Amino acid sequence: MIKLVSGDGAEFEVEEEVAFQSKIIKDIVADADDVIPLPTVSSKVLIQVIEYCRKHAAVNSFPLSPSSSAAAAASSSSSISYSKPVSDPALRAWDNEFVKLNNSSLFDIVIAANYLDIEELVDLVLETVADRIKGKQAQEIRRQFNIENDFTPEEEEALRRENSWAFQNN
Amino acid sequence: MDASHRGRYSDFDARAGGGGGKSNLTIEPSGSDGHRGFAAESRGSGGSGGKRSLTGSRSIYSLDVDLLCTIFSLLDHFDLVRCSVVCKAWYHVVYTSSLMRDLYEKRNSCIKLTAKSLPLEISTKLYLGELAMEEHKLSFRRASAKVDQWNGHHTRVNICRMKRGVVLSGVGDKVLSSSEEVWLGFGNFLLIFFVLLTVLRLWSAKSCKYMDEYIIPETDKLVDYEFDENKIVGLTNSKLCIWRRHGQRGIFQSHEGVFTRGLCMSIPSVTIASSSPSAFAVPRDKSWMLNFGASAHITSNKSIFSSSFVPSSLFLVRLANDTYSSITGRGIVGPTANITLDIILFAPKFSVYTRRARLEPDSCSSPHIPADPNALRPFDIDLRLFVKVLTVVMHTTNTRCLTSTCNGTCLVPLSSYIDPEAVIGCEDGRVRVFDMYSGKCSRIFRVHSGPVTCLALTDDQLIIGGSTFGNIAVVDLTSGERLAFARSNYCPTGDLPANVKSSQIISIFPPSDAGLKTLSYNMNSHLLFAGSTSGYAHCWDIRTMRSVWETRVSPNVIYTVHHLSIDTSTLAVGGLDGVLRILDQRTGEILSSLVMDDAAISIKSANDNQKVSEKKARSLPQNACLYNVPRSLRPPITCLSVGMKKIVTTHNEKFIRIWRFQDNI
Repeated sequence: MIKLVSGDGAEFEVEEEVAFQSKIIKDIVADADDVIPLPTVSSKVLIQVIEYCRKHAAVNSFPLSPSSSAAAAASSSSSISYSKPVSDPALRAWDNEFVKLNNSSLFDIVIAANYLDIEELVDLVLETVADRIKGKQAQEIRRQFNIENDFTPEEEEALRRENSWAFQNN
Repeated sequence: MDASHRGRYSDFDARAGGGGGKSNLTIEPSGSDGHRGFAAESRGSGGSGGKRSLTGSRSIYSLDVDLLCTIFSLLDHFDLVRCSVVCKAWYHVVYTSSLMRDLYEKRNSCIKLTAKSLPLEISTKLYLGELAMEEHKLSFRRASAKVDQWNGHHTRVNICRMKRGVVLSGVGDKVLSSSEEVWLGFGNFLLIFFVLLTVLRLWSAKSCKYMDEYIIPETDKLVDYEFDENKIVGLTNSKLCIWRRHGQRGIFQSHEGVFTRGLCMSIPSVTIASSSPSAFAVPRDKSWMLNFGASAHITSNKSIFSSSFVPSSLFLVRLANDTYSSITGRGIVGPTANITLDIILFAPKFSVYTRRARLEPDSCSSPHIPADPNALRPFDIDLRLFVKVLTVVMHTTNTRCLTSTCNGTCLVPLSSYIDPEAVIGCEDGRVRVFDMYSGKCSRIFRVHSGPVTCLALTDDQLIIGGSTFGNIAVVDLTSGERLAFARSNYCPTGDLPANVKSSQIISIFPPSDAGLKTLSYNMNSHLLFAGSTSGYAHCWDIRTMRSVWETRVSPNVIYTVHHLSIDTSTLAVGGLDGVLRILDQRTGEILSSLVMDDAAISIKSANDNQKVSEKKARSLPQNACLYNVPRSLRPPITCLSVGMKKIVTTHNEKFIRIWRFQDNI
């Protein structure tokens, strides 16, 4: 068992194969004691991440291949790659349920997952965010993600005019 | 950590600190180098935002650029461009991140980034446009389309325009009756009024929903119209009407008293030659300047700005010498005591030697049209004095740029709305240029010996006029000088012996058979497309004035040709035979021919009383005999307008059709 400590001090004991969904934890645990502080991850987020890892560890009980983890360690931006599609339909359905969260929870999770280097979870959440952008007008995207429009009306209009082909679905 | 979570995840052996500062938080792991490295790194990355992020409720701003790029890489180019206008941060990620560029290239290995020498921002924009045009072209080639058809008017419609997902339909001069019947119940009597109303209606191209309508108040017939995001300009046979599309509704009819307070300014010509910052664009032959507040000006002289200078780093502007300059701010300039120019863009690299700058991202606030309709008095441009008006084009999308330079100051009206003009082609072979706001005919040029049936404007101030004799002439819009002339070889040379003289050709093919009905100019490739009475589609290169190709695409007259403004591959052609044809812009080869099947797939209602029937388009084989296709399936196409992967058509019937071309799926 590995003990994870969240930023607000909660401790979670998880099995190795669950924790090893995170490549970072896997790398550390190889040569360290089994208490791992995760100061940037809140317990609420950690619970969700562990829930995901537990489910996925149970389904694909294969450890991550050493080559992919080495590649991920080499590049600083671990998440820039396309996820291999999750083949198991039941797991896919479970994933879809899992990401039915509000945006800020999703961002919490993806930041934690990126930090812990859980590639599949990062991809899952980013895909979900992308799906929430697809087909929407700029104003709807702003409302969805609570983004302030810092363009002046003229600037925005100029951009729209410049790429008028993309703004044809009023 | 709240109680519900604790209950649910009790198997995690959670002992929440509850903010009590348990020792767990401060444990310094005493392990190997690797472990310590991790702990240090985690503290490092959590250091700046750690306290804040632990409180939850993160926004999309907390995602770093790499994560944002990954999200964007999952979107198609349409979504991506829409994301770029969401906020400035996203704009910069989409257009200026080299990571994004790598991702595009990885995803679309078939289309290369062509313009690598240009700044990243520009080349990325061009690239996304190329991707979109490729998709547009493929969908047109595939010729699998669904057609939405609905009754848009009570009378026959024969003109349509489509821009930015909005369709404007209306009745043009070619139709005999433009009357709408108004039925009023009055007691026991049914009074029938026949009111001559010309109505323009605006529709959403996506849902076919009715959006708005614009009525010409008097019993005028509409000749032609054009529209953009802010206004609709209609030319009737007696006046120009301008409607505002947004905000306070008000129809603005041209009249003489337009030069009232706030709308016009008089600048003595002395000012132009002075060394003050008051030098700005004034046409040489005019002693006044109109500034509707609709345009932006550009300068490289920062010292002329008043205190209102606002830094902004968004725009890149392409100048006439093909260099790019960024706009680093904007402000207010007061060139003289009486005049204040509102939006002046500051471009440090803008040179006084850059004449006739072509500026790409033009600013466009709405044109300043007086809000109070009572302040307007109608003025009739007496077009009836002229011979019959045949066609009209207007400056609504072109960038009209006038420059004047003086002592390092150079202000260029940027947008299309400055000096708006309508160019009218007449039966006597002349074109008349109207100032849209004064309603005055400013110039008359002789273009052809025969009637000018169709017109096109280029982005460098040239008028191209087509005649009933199958000729085109290029005339400078400012000077009226006829620069070039070309005639169509409407008669295929292969069919005639070499010794046949041209006079004989004319006798074989009378002039009316070769007359040009429609023109469409491609500003990117400098190609001019035309359709003729005899069913030929023509293409000329305007730079060389050589004919590129001529193809007889239809046995009957072609009424309309159109293409998407940035598309250089496909051309839509429609005419009397009612077949919608897609041609290759470069070769004139017919890529696909479409008619509509009669059976409706489904009928949906866009509004309470507006039914839209969805039908399927049928692709005709290359050498299909048209006589086997019943006329009812192919009503004449009087007008068409191309949008992204769709075409809107009118047929001189009450209905309007939108052909939606499908992707490969």
